Amino acid sequence: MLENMILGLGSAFQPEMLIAVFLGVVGGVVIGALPGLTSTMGVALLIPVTFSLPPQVGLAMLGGIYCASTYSGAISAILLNIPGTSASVATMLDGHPMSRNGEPGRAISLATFASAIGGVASVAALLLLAPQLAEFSLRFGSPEYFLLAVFGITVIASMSSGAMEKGLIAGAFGLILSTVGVHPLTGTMRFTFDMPSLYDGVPLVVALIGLYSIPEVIDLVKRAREEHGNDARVDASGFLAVIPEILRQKVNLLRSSLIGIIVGIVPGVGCSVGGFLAYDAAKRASKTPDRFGKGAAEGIVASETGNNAVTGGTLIPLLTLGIPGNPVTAVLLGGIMIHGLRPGPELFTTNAEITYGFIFSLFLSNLLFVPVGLVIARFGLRIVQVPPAILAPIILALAVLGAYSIRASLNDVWIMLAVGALGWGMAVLAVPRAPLVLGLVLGTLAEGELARSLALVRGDVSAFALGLLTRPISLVILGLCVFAIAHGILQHRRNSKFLE
Amino acid sequence: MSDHARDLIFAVIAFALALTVGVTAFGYPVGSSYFPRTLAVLMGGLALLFGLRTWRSRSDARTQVGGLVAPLATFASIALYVLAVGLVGFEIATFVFLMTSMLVLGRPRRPLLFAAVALAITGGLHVVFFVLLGVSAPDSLLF
Repeated sequence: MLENMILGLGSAFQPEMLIAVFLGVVGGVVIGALPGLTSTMGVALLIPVTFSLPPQVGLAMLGGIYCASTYSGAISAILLNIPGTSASVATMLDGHPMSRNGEPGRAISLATFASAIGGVASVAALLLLAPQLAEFSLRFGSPEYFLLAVFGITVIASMSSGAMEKGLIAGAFGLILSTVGVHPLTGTMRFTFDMPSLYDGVPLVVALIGLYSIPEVIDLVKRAREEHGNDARVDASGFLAVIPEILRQKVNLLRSSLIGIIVGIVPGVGCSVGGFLAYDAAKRASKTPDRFGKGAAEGIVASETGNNAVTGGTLIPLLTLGIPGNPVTAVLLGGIMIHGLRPGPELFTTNAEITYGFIFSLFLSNLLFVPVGLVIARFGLRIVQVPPAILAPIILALAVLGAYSIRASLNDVWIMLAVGALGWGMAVLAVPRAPLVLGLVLGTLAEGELARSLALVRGDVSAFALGLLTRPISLVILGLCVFAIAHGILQHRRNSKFLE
Repeated sequence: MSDHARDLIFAVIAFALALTVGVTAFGYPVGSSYFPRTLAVLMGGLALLFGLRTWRSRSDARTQVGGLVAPLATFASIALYVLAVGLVGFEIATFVFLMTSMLVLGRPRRPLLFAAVALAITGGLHVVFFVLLGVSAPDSLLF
């Protein structure tokens, strides 16, 4: 393992990797800071750009976008009281009051350094825990991998907002979409309706771009005429002065990092939950809890450390078992698979240089967004207030070109448009998109593993079902699926009572 | 639109989709279609369950859905843009698309700024995709 780590470390410091990380971080900071643009959309839009790059370089760029955009949502949360991404909602509680008290620079510095510390801690956890979990996953056979795909969709559906059935239906439809094209074993064409563009299935990246960019652009178009009424100015002179203040909060940093990492490992729970839980824990532990909500430094540090610590945590089940923890990592999984890589033990053995290179690049991303974020924050509102009238057409042009570039086919752009219409319809009907993405991403794997599992018992469905109940790991995963559904039902009932 | 009506519409659409997928899937050989068949049955069952539960509930909550102008304008503009790419090529179509969209959406209208942004973005996309990444540019009828 040490040898692989050294290989990865060497790979992470190659010039092309450093350039990729830098570009990913700059893009991520801008995307995260702009209200209305999500980390998920950023990763989805830039997958085509990474498509023709070597896998480790492409993944490093996507990782940079993920880490940096999770952090930079704090910039607009602090300056405008509008979270750039959902991860920064808890940061608003104290970040904006501190900014209004005349200290926007201090608030942004605290958020930046705390995010970096949380991010680095979570990548360290990823580096230490993921190889162990990957080694354990060597015991998995086809039935377990099939169940893992089912578990991933179940858990994301049950944790999504709104009714659980909606999430499960979206997940099932995603799985159905993944069956479009040639059957992996028999070669029969399914749901292609004589359209050659669908023979190889619904192109994953094209679908991701449509699902995550079109609905966001429609939102931007709707508020194209709105103006943000805030004239905060950022004084850059005291950016580094907060370092001693941050370092005095060792316990807060450690506690928030641990909360974020654990939240990240649990599939289906997002960065915003990590931020809120860390914020709540800091408030409970504080000697001056009454200062929370009025610009308390502890609150900003806790929420930003917590939400960025989620990033590395979510990658642990993603890289080892193929279970994404949130929508961004579901899209990232698509990015990993499009480079011909498959989550699991092979990532840490056969493809160790790529994987460890990617993990070490995440350390760099978490360090690099400090200077990049602080420089961008200095220009503050000029950047976060790019008018939607300019932003929306640029995103559309990038989406069209990104969809076209995967197979150099304009037909793919029409597919992107159709999936975009589906995504918009889902947004209108309040159906979560993450389960559909997961179904689409994991469908091929699930169907292939199911076919292999059935082939092992010569197509006998009862023998297959009995096998699931007698294999210890299968039984545990089945138990987790049942738990996820039961949890979703309970959560839904609680929410209904709350609403009543 | 009330949340109740919205959820009922969703249940009907989901059931209709499941039915369509199921009917199509049952037309394929069983060895190639047991997966989508099972999923169609599961999806249809869930849609039915959700529809019945929604039908019985008495929620008066309402959610602002928003008009159809923005979505229709977005889809129409992309469709026209893609057709224009096939007609006059990527660069001209992109510049015209960006410029027109900014002029339609922008308040106040700043033609010079918009033209500069449209030119920079078109050039940037051309360099990144067609020069650096080596993607072949789409064929066009006129240029």
